[in-house]
Formats: sequence, structure tokens, C-alpha cells
Amino acid sequence: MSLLTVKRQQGFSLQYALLITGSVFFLIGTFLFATASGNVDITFAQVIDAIFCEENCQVSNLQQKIIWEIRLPRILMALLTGAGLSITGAVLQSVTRNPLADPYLFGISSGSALGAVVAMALIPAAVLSITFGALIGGAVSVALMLILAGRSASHVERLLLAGVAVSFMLSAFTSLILYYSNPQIAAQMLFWMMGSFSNSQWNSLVMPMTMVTIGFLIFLVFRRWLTAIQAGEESAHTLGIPVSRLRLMMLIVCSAITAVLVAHVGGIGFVGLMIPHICRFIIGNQIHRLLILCLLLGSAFMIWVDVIARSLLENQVLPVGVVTSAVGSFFFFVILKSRSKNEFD
Amino acid sequence: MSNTVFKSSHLCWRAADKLILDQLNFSIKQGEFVGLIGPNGAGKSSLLRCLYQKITQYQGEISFLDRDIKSYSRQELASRIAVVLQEPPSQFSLKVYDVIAMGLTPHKSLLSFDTASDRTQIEAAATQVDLTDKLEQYFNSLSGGEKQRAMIARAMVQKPQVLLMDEPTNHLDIRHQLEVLDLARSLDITVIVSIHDLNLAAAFCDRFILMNKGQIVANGSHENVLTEQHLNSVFGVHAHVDQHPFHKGPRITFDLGDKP
Repeated sequence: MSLLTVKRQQGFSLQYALLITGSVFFLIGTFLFATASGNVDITFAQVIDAIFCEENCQVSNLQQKIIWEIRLPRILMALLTGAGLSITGAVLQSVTRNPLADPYLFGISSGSALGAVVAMALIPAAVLSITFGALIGGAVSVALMLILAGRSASHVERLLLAGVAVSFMLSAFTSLILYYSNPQIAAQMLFWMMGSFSNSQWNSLVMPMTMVTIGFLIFLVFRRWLTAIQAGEESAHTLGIPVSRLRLMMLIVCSAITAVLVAHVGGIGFVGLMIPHICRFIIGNQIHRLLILCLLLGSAFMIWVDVIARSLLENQVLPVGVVTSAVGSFFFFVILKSRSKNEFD
Repeated sequence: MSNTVFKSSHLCWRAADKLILDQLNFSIKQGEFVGLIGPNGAGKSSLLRCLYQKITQYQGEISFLDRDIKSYSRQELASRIAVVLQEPPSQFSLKVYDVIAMGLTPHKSLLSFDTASDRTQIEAAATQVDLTDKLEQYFNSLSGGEKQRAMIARAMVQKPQVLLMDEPTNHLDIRHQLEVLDLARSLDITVIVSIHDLNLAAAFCDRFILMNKGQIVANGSHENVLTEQHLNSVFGVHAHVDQHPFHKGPRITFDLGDKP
């Protein structure tokens, strides 16, 4: 009996436990570093003091205000976005058995973009906020895709094609509205589409927090089924798993999470594709382990992206989507390279 | 309760207006090892898919353990019928342990956790198929024979009353072909296996269902099914059938000369 089998018998894998503990510490470190970094100098000790102290705090009122009202909501929004997009990416890849699947696969980002542009250009802000407009747009795109796919929604290929069709259709409307809107709104729209955590506030965290938590719990409950579906649809069927229903349900949950996140922070691409692949490479494809690692590394990655976006240029915040794609693709190349090297060795 | 496991009455199935299964009537008894034989496109896989209810839009009736098979829930069926399939390799390969553990799915509720007894079962099944050392390896890295053995271990963990196997010996060398069928027979449950190698089928199966163009041409023991006349009319080959010197069943030798 191998050593690893013995570990399994004891109910845990030491390697897995170490990896998760390490990732938790990495996330905590990332969180503290991100809270300390910014235009106003704040030390780690002051960050911890500001978060935990109740009386006789060492940190000034201004520093406390900066930490509590600006940095923490922003960092938490980055954390939730990274976590949400990564876990939805992992689940969508598993249920579609497609390594290219990501949270934007079904036209959600184009739907949200259309909703946001309608809110910016056509309807007064007091009536429809950008966030709410984007949320409606995301929901409309998913509904349209399901209607278009119709009865063939049980066939994953047709569902994907319907998603692509919806995506292009809604993008065309967005472009049309942008074409006829004034340059100021077009610039605002463009910035929104590239993603930003700048407008994050405590009350705007409620919905993303709720959706990511509920989604994560649903994914964990269905972990056995999600793991089994990766090995083949017909095989999953023979285990008593309602494959089409499961896929549809997961698609709706993933869409809801993505739509809420996109509505709050704009279109941040690539993270939902890249983080699950990196985590699969590290930990394998058993879904609950994969999801936990995606949650931790996705959060940490997105916080780092925000730190880079804030600090790369002086007095200027780069769009998060740009940094995500640039940093992400670089990391991804490195990982792919080392992976193919390992496979050939 | 009778000892009939499956009973099919007037089973018909059409796909895109083409009749794939045409008026199939047969029954399978408990403990039988049934070989489903016939040329490509005869309807063997479609029949198996009806039996494990992947195909449900058929006409006629299939009863399973004296009840209409459609009256069983998915979980009920999966805890009674295990299936070993030939699936394309997955992009997301799992470890052998996790593949075997999937067999527990029909017996576990969504909220349940893995227990020590689950692990014992998985390891016992792995020992039985001689894969103990490969439990932590990725399924995609196994050889064809090992993959099929892992799938049989998964089926064992499923604790079924019936095992359905769709061409389990395809692409395997002769030693692994024998190994896989021997393992299936050692389970001591009802097994229905679709198989192309007639001599292999003759060595393992108690009963044969010969299919052609969606119909059952012959059903019964080898004396009734594996005849030179049937092989000629169904497969279009000249064959000579005599007694095998080892297992005393039929031995089929094909005439490589002129075609009929």
C-alpha cells in the first residue's frame, strides 16, 4: 500500500492540507499588504490596529477613514470578484467539459455592458443606476440564450453556440448606442467595460458577497455530481445524475454570480479562465478541492491585480481588466510552458 | 418474485425516422452472463442504452425486476444497474481513487461526507481488480486494460444487481480482454455484454442474443445462436464451428477464402 493511500485512509492528504493552509496565509498576507499600500503611507501594524482596535488606537482618524472607507471595501470587492469569477469558471469548465469555458461564455458581459450603456446613455441616472442596468442586462442575456437554445439546451454545444449568438447580438446593440451617444458617455462606458474597483463601498459589497457565498455553497453541495460529470456525460447518467438538469442549474447559478459581479465592477476577463486552470494544474480535478483553491488563489490574484493597477502609474489608476489580462496571460504562459516541459520530460 | 431481471416486450426505438430497434422481445434471468453480438450498426449499444435508460423515448416496454423500468427513480436504477462504457478521454482527468469513488454516488445523499467505510470499500474494489498501487495515479495515464479494470472497480463499489458492458474489450490485447471478462464473471451477478469477438463471447457467455438491423435474429445457447448459417447470414462470412479443445464451448474459425 502506497504512502498516499495510507494518508487517504486517515481521511486527509498532508499535501492538500499544507497547500490550503499556505494559500490561506498567502491570502491574508495579500490582504494586509494591499490594505497598507497606496498613496498614503500606512504600516502593517497600523492596518492591524485599524481593523482590530476599539479604544486608544495608534492609527490616526484620517488613516482609519482611508482604511475603512476606501481601501477595505475596494479590496473586499476585488477579493469577491476574483473568488466569484474563478469558482464559476471552474464549474462551467466542468459541466461543459470544455477547457475554454469561462464566466463570460454565455454573453453575460455583453448583456451587462448593454444594460450599463442603456443606463448611462438613455435613462437618467436617478431612474436606473449603472449597476442595476448591468444586472438587468446580464439577466436578459441569460434568458435570451436559454430561449434561443430552447429544447436543445440539454446539448452543451448548442447552448454554447446560442451564448455566442446572444453575445454578438447584444454587443451590436451596445456599439450602436455608443455610436450615437456623446463622446463623454462613450469614454465613461469604455472605462466601465475595462473594469474597476474604484467605486466600491460597503453597501455595494452586500450583493456580490451574498451571491458568491450562496453559489459556493451550492457548488459544494453538488460536488460529487460535478466531479462525476467531468468523466463523461453518459457515465454520469449511469450513476443516477440528471446531467442536463444539473448543467442548466449550474449555468443559471454561474450566470447569476457573474451578472452581479460584472454589474458592480465591469468586465474583468481572463481570471475565470486562467485561475481554474492553474488550480487544476496544482491540485487536480476533484471539484471541492479545486473550488477551495480557486476561491483562495482567485481572491489573492485579483487583490494583487488591483494593487498593481493602483500603483503602476503615479496618481493614476489603470483599468483592472487591462492589468488582469496582461499579468494573467504572462503567468498563464509561464505555467503552460512549465506544464508542457513536465509532460515531455 | 420471479428470477427475471429484464423483460422486453415489443421494444422499438427510432432515431431521426430510422428504425434502430425493431420489435425486440427477450428476457434475461438472474445470474446469466449474456453476450450481445452482431455486426456494427445492429443496435447492440442502443439496446444497452435503453436498458440503462439513457434512451427513454422508445415504444414497447422494458420491465426490470418485475416492474416497468420507467417507474424507478434515477438513483434507484443506478444503485441496481452499473454500466461500463467506452468514453472518450476527459480533458479533466481524475485520480483512479476518485474514479472508483464515483461508484458510491447513487448510495450517497448530496450532503453526506466520505466515511472510513467508503474508503475501505474503494480500496477493497481496487485490490480485487489489482489496482491498489495505482490509486493515486491519474486515470488518463492508465493503459486501456487498467482503465477498464478501474471502471469495473467503480461498478463493484456501486453494488449493482446487473452489470451492463458496452464493448469493454475493444482496443485491448488478448490478455487484458480475458482479464476484463473474467473479472466481470467473478462478480457473480447478471452481466450483459456487447462484444465483437465471437470466440471470446463463446468462452465466457452462457447465452447469446444475436442482432442484425435492429432485430433479434437468434437468442439462446451457443448451439442455437453461434451456427454457421447465422454467422453467414448476419455477418456475411463463411465460418466453421466446432468444439473448443479447452473450454468445450464452440470454436469459430473463419474462412478467409472466397466470400459468400
